[in-house]
Amino acid sequence: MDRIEQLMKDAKPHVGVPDAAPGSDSARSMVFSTDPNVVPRAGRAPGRRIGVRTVAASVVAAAAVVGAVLVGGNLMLQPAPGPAQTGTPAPSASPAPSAPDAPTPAASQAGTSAGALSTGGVECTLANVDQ
Amino acid sequence: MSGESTMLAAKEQAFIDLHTQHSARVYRYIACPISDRHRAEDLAADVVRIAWEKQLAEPPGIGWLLATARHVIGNEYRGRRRAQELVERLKDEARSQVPGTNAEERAAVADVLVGLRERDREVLMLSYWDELTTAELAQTLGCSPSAAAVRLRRARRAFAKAAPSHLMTERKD
Repeated sequence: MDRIEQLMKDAKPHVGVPDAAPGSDSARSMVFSTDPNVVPRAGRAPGRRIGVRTVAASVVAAAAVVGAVLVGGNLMLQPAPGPAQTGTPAPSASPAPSAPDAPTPAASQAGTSAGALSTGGVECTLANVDQ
Repeated sequence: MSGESTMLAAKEQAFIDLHTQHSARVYRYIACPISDRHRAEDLAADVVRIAWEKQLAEPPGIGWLLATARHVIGNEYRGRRRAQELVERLKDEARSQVPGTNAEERAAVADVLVGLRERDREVLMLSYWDELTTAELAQTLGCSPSAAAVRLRRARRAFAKAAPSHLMTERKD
């Protein structure tokens, strides 16, 4: 070893071993990402990454707020939809006040469509109603 | 499917081998001239990642990796800033040493290095700090082995010229 080599080697800065082997993060993410035994390393996050994460979190939060406003606005402005037309309207709960012996159209329609409401041929008057 | 799995496993193994074999040297190469240890770790990881993404036919040697590391450092620290980083690094190193003859010698070497042209300084650092062979040095610098040898000779001459005479005289302990 000559003098220059000796001087240079003596002056070489001491480089410690890194906390984790260099490239290990990349290796984990690319090679071992499906390994359930791998625990993500907790600890140092370089400033630039922290900055990027902060910006990403802000964007996501802003998007969530905008989404909530839009959804809320749609709920407020949209008229409530009417009942679906099924062709078998429900029987009216209140009887027709003017003609108790004449079934309302709703009742007659219900009678034709729902067997449970049939009078079985008996006239539908108050006298025939069981007490 | 089985063939794909086998190929993927082989690639993973090749990457692990590459990382195991060279990452420490890549890290040392990067960490020597800069003060920020964590940044050095990130840059070393970048180098290994680039090697992985290149999908080279043959696993890259240390020369290829350090050539990539040169570019990565060059992107990170350009021109004067790179020289300033080295000055700071060597000052930190000198401060961490116990005062004595060796520390003075190291400080003198640091002064000489900082005063050299960057291309001379880099060749000396690659040869003696990173312990590259002439072939590896050539690959790192992107030149022929004979050109690398010539550059090393020139750098050594520049160092000898810039160094104070007492520094070039070997101590007799």
